Amino acid sequence: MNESINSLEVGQEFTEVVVENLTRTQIVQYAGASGDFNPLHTDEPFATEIAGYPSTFAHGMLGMALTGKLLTKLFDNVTIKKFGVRFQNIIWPGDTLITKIVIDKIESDAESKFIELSIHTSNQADKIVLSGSASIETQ
Amino acid sequence: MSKKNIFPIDASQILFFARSINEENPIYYDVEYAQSKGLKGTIAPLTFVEAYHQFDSTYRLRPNPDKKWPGTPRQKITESKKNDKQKKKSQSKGGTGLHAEQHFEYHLPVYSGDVLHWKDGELKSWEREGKKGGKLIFTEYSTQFFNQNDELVVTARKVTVITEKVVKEEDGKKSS
Repeated sequence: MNESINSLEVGQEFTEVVVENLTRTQIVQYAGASGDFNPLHTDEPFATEIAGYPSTFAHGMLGMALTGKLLTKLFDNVTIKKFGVRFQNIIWPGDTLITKIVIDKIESDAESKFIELSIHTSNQADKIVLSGSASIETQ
Repeated sequence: MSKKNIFPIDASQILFFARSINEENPIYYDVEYAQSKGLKGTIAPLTFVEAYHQFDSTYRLRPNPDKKWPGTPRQKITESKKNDKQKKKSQSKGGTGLHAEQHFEYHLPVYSGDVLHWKDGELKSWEREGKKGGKLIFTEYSTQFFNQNDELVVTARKVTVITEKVVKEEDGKKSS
């Protein structure tokens, strides 16, 4: 997509399924990779019987990392200058997450192009789990 | 620079992180491919610096041989034990700690082989009443990551929230 960056238009949308049927195993895999072993994510009896949740659930940061995959699919990593999100709903085992990126603004100067994006990731029930924005600067 | 707060960026750790998010782009594990794309080497995924906790000696969300970890037994937890644990939990933490926001600013790429160090900024804290979750206590942390040349590579800002009650699905910000 990076070669067609000049053809991007404000309002253009990109959508992708970033995880399908999220497994508890993947949540544990992310715990190992990130170092966050919070038992809410890794210990089902703790999450349900002690903490009172219906099951273990994903790290918000796993949702953000999954969301970031579409961003880096669309834009080279080194052109991404900002990426931020608010976590809005819990991501549960079994969820399928769909990320939507919308081009909000495109500006250019003599040397660079600046692109502002809004980002939403929703689950299979169309409920937003996280939303945020990103900024791109290309030379 | 002291040995404190050192975060070596290791190719294996990047690979494991990429696998954990089903990321198949070879720029995260194939040096030759990454170089063919104009990169110095394999690069860290966008949110990878969050894994600095692996090297944070004070990090609480990792089992530590010197501290008790809240594990659970094979058998069903009995009501009395459950009550004890819930009581201890509420006395110690006052609720569930969840991640409300996360923001990254990228100044320079982070490559496998880099050795980062980090500096924690000042904490900010505030409270408000939640719609359904009782009192919400927010804390904002900021962390700057520098590479081995003392160049600022990433600035991270995190907001956490401690809820008095278990968060229901429709309540608003949740997910740790």
